[in-house]
Amino acid sequence: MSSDQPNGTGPFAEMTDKMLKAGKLLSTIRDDDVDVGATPKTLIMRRDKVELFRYAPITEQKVRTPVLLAYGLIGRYTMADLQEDRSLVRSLLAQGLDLWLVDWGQPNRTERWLTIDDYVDDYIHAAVERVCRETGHDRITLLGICEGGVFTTCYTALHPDKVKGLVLTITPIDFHADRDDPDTHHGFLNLWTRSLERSDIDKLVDTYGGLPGEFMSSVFSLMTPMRSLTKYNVDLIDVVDDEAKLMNFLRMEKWLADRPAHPGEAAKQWLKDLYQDNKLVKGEFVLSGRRVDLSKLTAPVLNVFALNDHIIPPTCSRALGEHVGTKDYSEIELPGGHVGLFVSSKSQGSLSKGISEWLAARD
Amino acid sequence: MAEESQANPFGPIVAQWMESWRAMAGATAGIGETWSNSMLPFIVKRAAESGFGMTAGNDLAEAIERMAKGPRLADVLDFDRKLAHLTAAWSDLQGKLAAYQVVAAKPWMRAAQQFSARQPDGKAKDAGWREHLGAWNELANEELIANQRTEEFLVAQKQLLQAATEYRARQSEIADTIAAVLGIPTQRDFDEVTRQLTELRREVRALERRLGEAGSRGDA
Repeated sequence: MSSDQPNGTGPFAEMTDKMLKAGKLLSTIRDDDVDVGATPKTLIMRRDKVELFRYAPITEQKVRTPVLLAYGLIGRYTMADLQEDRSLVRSLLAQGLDLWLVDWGQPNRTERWLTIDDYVDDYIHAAVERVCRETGHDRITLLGICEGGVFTTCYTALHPDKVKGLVLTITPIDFHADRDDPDTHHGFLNLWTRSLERSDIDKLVDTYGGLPGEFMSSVFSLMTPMRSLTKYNVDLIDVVDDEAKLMNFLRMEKWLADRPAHPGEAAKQWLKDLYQDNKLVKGEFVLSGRRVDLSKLTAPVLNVFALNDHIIPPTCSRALGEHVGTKDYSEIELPGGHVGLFVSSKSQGSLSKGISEWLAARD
Repeated sequence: MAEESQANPFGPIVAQWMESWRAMAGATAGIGETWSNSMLPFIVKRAAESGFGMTAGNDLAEAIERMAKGPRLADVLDFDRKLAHLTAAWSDLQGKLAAYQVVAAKPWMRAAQQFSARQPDGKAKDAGWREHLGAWNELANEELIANQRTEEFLVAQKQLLQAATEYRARQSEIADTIAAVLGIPTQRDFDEVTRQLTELRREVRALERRLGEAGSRGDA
């Protein structure tokens, strides 16, 4: 006879009890309760769909130089501010930084013709100038995440007089260095993009008017196949009766679901010029008619990457060290994955502490 | 016998059902054996690769393709031709999807074979369903990731993407044709407007910047 029969405490009874609790819990949670990107901030400037925000301080300012955070165009910045106890934004504010955010909004087919040139030389440039004007600084620090790291790298190389320091997190620089990463779980995105014809990328973008968010989500799901298959059954059942864990799960889902289309022409540059042709490290990447020369990165650079990043292999990020023009180049390698670096409870302290100490030493 | 029937009126029915079931199980085993010993798996695989008769290389697909690629007449509304293009794209997509599924199914079979071949040690015998599921997930995950990195998978996926994009493009062509007939702006019109808007914005901003720089130098 099964152990759960006599006293009602076996696996079946536990599961029944869990599902009853889950039913009660889920009936009380509404979408509005699942708040992401909730750290208070003020809108300072709007340019087309792009918005510049300044975060409200939560402690005395300890680092004078303003820091402008730029996320990429795949997913949204809310990954850096998922919830109060798992928020890079909040942790940096707690370290006394004057933190600003450039939010790309929700691009769709209207933004089909925008290029990386527009993002770097127009939107980021306008944001940097506005931050300088608001704070009275000539130069600021840029903090780029993933594709946003590539944008801020290009900006720093093209506008060295505007940048006091550059902090990169999980940023690909050498897009072919996945070949140097022995972990077969890493770098599928690099391999997959190289397997496509250039005309496939053109046709995909021209047909959809951009790179659809759902399409990129499906490629990311492929990279962790069993995790994708067990997410809504095994993983969800594990946390469904624990309110704190369930809210973590739902916030993560909300972030994943908020994946706007990548603007079309910028997507062509991202996939063809960078992922396929690796033009950035070859010194052949051209924006607004000017070649992006990584040796022009003369401001201090901090390069942070995750050792188990399956989306941006650490070898692709680490490669920056060979190309920068500055002698003040530092790296922080942290355990965890691409998203885990920002949302796991383990990495919270080490990531923000590493960044703020580096900034304070150069303020 | 009569007594037995009286005691259990369903006895003969159950016996008959059991006999039928045995016969069916035997036949199924026979079919399975015939299947595995024959050319059928090979033929089905090839059929999947060729889209089960709906993709290029078969009569129907060739006929549709001929319709789509026939001579174009200047004064005839070519909606039929666009529909034929869409149908051809759909059948090509189905073929590429079937071929992709054949490639994508392989790691599952390999994982299942490996999992069933594992000799359960003492620890595994005592393990609960979660431990077994965890072991299966780990094994399947490795096989799926290894498969994704093969040339065969990448080619099948690329061809599926090409076919899906072509199908979507043909759908848009139909939508644009209908919109044009009804006097509604088409997707192409929208793309043209946004292109002009983006270029205009760039020009205005470049001008603003030049004026600002000139002003700060005191040229004005």
